Amino acid sequence: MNNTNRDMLQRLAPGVWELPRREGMLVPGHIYASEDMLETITRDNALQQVRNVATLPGIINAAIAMPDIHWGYGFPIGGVAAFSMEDGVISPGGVGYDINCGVRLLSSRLQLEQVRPHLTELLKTLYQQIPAGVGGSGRLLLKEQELKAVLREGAAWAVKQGYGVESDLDRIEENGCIRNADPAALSERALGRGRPQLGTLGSGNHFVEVGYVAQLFDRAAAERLGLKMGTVTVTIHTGSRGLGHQVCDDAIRDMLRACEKYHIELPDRQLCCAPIRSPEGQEYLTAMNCAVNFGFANRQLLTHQVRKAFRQGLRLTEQDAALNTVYEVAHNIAKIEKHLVDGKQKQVCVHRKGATRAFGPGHSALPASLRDLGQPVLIPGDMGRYSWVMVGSEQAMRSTFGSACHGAGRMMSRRQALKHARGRSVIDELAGRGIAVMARNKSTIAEEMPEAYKDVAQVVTAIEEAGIARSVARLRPLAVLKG
Amino acid sequence: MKPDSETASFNLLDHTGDTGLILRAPSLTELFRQAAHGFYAVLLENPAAVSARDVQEITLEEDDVETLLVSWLTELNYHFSVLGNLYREYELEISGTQLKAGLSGNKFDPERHQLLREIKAITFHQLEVRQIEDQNWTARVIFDI
Repeated sequence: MNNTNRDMLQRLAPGVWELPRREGMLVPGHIYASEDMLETITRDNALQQVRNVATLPGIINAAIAMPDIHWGYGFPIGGVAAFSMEDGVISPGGVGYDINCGVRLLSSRLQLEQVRPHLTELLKTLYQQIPAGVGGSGRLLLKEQELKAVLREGAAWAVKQGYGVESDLDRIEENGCIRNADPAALSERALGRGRPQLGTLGSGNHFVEVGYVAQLFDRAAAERLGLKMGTVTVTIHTGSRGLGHQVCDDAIRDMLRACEKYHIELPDRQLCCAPIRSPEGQEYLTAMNCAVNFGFANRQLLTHQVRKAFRQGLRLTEQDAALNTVYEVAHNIAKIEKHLVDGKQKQVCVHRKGATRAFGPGHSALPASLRDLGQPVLIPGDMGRYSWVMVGSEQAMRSTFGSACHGAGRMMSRRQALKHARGRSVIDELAGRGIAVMARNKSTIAEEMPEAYKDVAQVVTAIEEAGIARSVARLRPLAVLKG
Repeated sequence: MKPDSETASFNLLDHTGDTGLILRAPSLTELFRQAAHGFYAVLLENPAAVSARDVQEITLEEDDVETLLVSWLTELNYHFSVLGNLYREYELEISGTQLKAGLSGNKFDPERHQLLREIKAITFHQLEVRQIEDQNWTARVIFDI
């Protein structure tokens, strides 16, 4: 299965490697990585998946892989691909099941030393406030009309209901709402899965992490984002839950049929797709947008729960415990965006699967308060080391359709991680490093152990080498709630 | 001759991001039963704690057996994640690409059933169901975790 090795990659530019065209590839692969990462990247099937993506109709320039790339299903995780609006396709496998999985970062004025003595209490409160919503439901059971409003309005719906403040919306990608979202495109099953799951975390790699600003690379930029040295932060990582999973599941069935109808040959059925302009393509786009809005609303609700937990767990007033949204990014999404193609600004459909939008300074999609800085790019690492805050660059606009990486990227399979954890207490080890961890599901902590991931510092170094984003701050974890 | 269930097996597949099952069985029906056992082994620490109390019936029909396998596991996942149902015994009947199943199980109880992880979906990635030379069936299916 894995028939791509290190020798096939040719250095294209600093931090960028080309996987040359062959066997049905319409464009080459562009792999963003530092040289010492290539061995890990070529170890699994990820590069074969880059090749497969490069065979899809209407792909523009290259099938792109970020340094956190690893073997996914269909598209690799850490993949970016843009398709022509005229003859290109849209693929649910290029977005994934967890549509609009993403990350929100909150800043505070609280000092590390104010919070550290109360971490256990705070973590317990977070555990009580934030349902995982697995095998059951959250606390909020939406009525059908309410759910449909969520699907159309996204995070704005949540703010209107009192779960947040207007200023949150300004700092969310797309202001927390994508238009062209029609709930009529969703199946009964998708709606049924969504009703009890708004405001739930999920499991796997989803988390709420309390951390602090441990290092500044650009003090002025960090201060603009509300990140001061030694202050406490919160990172929320989750997506559109069962509703998104069902939208993807339903779409894959439709797209398999569409591939026959439009005579699209697939190297892997999970890459099934339809022309963007076709009825099937448009149907998926509008259904996916509903799930995207559900994801935005979900993180807004979790933000509300986190704010509540901070007040209760730390016994603080609303003002002292204020947590402000630094930014929120989506990292499993397909979007119609304008990019420079062959010297002209053109609309294209950018798929980011395990990749983050990273628009450079001056882009009109950025909030006015941050426009000259570039878009904040939030890159969580593993739960034992650190996470990064970066900002997007002009180079990203030129070479990656304004995209960067989304995390550290898994290195070990879940089975390998469980084997490594046997006979050890990962919780105690992390406690020894000053990090408190709680999880609802039994295997989560072992499967998500720090060693299961690449060192995110390596990923960030590769991103900087290629110039597609630059570092602003580094955060360290203090307490982590896993699903 | 050994009964089907003794020569059938499921093994977990090593996958960097997710997980999956490698199945082997002397008949297609037994292969689908193993797939269900494997599904619950990925989901639960103690699948044996599920008791065969309540019965549900389902019928599925697809264009091919690969899709039928995905639909079967997707159905079990839906029954868990939305209805809170877990199953232990399966009366299965497969004819062509149609499956009829009587599922016996009980409701998910977080006190009794230790959940290992959530399965987001059953994927079509590297999906394979085939009959091999010795008449045995094998399959590979990958889950999104």
